[in-house]
Amino acid sequence: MKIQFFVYSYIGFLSGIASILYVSLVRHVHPFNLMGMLLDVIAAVVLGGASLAGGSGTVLGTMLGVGMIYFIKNSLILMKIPSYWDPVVIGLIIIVSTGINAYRKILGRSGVKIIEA
Amino acid sequence: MKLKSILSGKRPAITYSKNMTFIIVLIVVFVVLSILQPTKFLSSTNLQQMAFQIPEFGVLALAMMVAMLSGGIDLSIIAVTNLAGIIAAIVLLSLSYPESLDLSMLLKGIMAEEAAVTELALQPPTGLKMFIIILATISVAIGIAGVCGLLNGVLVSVIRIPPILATLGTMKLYEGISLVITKGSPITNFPKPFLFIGSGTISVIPVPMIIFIVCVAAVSMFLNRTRLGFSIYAVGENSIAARFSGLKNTNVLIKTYLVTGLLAGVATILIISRVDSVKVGYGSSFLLQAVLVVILGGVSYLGGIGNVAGVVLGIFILRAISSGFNIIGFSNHFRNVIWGSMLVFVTIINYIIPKIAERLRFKTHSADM
Repeated sequence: MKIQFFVYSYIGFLSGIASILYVSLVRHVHPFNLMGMLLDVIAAVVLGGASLAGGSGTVLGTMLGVGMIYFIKNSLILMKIPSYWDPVVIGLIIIVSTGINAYRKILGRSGVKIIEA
Repeated sequence: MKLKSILSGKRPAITYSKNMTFIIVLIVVFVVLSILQPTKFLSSTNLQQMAFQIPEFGVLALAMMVAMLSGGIDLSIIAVTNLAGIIAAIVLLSLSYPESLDLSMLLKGIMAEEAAVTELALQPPTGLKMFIIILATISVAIGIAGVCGLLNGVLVSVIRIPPILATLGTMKLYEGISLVITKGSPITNFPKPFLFIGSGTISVIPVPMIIFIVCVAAVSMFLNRTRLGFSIYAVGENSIAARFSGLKNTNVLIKTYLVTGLLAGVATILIISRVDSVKVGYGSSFLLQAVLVVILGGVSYLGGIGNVAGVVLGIFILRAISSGFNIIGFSNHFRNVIWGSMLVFVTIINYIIPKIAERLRFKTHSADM
């Protein structure tokens, strides 16, 4: 109970910090700013290896996940691919990466040995 | 002794039926709004307007409900709706005007420019030909949506990605595909006969309302009377138990998401024929509203609990409240505040009332002894 209370308060605190960063970066606020960001954030966290069911995940992994999404978005621009392709690529990455994880679990259950790196 | 009285099936002291609460809430909302603004709220224009707005959102909520009953969620319904709508619109326009339009012009967004459209002086075909074209459009929309749903189903059940992630990924994917096809420009100016589906009326009843009622009846029959519908409840309630009682969970889940996709396809037709245009991102605010209305309607987010009647009543309540607020003159943004607080409130009520009922039941039972 106490832990959950702390967790959600801490989330509020962190979003406050994020809002200061964002506002000082773009110098412009609007209620619908960053509206589409919610699902991107979930994608980044999950790419970083956190489990949706809870109980696993690391800060480093999450940062790597965030880095990966922005790294890919930026490289797409550098490669002169029209930005219409952004969501397609991000979607495919989410599906493939979570798919590999999920499929490994099935393999593990059926007795195939997975060699951990 | 206590256990025995529970097992002998004594009714609890308070029988709490969610649907009764909804009917009471709906009546209260209607009465309050009618007293506050009798001339405007009860006017036929307002009621007809509500009847035009409910169906497209309602069908999306039904789609979300089917997915949530199986213990999952489908975040991709809006993206599916957009993708299917865009492809259906391209099929519709290129079949209707085969000579004067070609695909590259269409994709550059020529139909959105008033001047260009008047210059082309397009004449839609009439009679049987138009009817066949409309049928083709509808089947293309529903077919594409079905394929999208099927992909969701395969990802969720065969590869076993958690539903929220699988559909998040496909949401991005479908959204991206629609963006790549249209480059973000709207497609509009559909032939007039097609618009009858979304904005026509048969005497005073709007056509979309009729389609919505048919959908509600079909989904309700599907969930309560068919084998597959019952299996969806079973898988949502307890997937391991369902598997050991001989259900093929994989098949059931694939079909669940297929049904969700098909319903999204129906919603596409309703939306594009009402607003006479289609564009990436149209209706993206409906996504979380659909989740909201499904949970308000008494469906458990864990799956297995909930019925069509609750969801439909929830939709009606939300629409009545929002149009009532519009009439009274609250700002449109204030509506979100109300809806958000309603969701929190209803969740709390749904959590507390069964607990109180349980406590009362134990009290009455111990009094019996």
